Amino acid sequence: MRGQTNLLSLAVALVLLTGATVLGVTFADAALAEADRDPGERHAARATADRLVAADAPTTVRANALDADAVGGLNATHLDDLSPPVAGADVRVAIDGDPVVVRGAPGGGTTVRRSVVVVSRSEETRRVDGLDNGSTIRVPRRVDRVTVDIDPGPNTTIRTVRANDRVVLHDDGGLDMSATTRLSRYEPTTLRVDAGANATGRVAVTYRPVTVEARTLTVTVDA
Amino acid sequence: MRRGRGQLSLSVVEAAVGVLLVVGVAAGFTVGVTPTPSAEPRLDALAHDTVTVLGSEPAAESDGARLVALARTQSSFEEVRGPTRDRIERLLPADTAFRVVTPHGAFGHPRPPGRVVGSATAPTRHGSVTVRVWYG
Repeated sequence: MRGQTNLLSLAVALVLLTGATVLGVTFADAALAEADRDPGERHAARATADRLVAADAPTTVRANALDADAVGGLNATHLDDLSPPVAGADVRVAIDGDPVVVRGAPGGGTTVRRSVVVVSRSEETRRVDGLDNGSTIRVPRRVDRVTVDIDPGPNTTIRTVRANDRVVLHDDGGLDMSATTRLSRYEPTTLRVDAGANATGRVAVTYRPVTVEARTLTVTVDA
Repeated sequence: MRRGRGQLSLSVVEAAVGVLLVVGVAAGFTVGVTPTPSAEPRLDALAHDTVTVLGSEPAAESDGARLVALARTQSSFEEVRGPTRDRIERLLPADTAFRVVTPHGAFGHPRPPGRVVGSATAPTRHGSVTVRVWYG
């Protein structure tokens, strides 16, 4: 009788222990399966996106502002140089869904999205101003550099060029040159050439107007 | 083993200890695994991008960057609020919503409770501007 009771309790104990083991292994297995991710892939995608939009990247004009020309010339080799973690992995870089660089077929990889603006410089605009009228030239905002060609006529000495009352070019001996000067992007600029009342000659200002468009950059890496 | 004294059978005691041991090991596996990466870093990156672009773009309505115009005065905030909202709408992916908090007020979508939110703050001379982004 006692032996039977012991047998019964042993059976109950074994059932309990087996159940607990099965449950425990199931949970642990599920947790491990969930942990079986590819952190390298995620890291590569994030690093590549970070380096593509960094302020000092070869693809950008400034932080988060991609240069349209530089992005157009991007290829997989450049990408590997820029971001070594993606070397050897399938990668796709797209702007608003249009692929820029594709290597292999990154299907179920990790995707990172970044908000960027794409800066494209249009054709050069050249504006020529005779010095016999009021020599002010207006440059629109978003232009960060202009080239000023100064060609004074005879008996004319031009000493100073100002941008929004800030002196950008000055020579006491007279300016007769072509120079590139930087302007503020945040406001329209008025270039003024200081010349006498009956000055002759020409001033040409050359700049490239800028268009800026908001886009989404996606980097997909499938290691 | 005298019945009626409330004594458990030794096998059951052993089983209970065994169950505790097994469950403890399994719990160690379950807890010790690193948690799933949340969406927060990605949202933080998007918020950071937004702040960077706002800080480097001229506002069409006033001098200086949009970010500075938002924080400068109440009137300049009112002036650039609408265009800036449109700009951020275009900038962020379509499945995200945002809210911008400035010293002169906030605009954007109302923030739902209990969501994972990424945020980025930029200091300006007139106070700091915070952008919060979440999956809407």
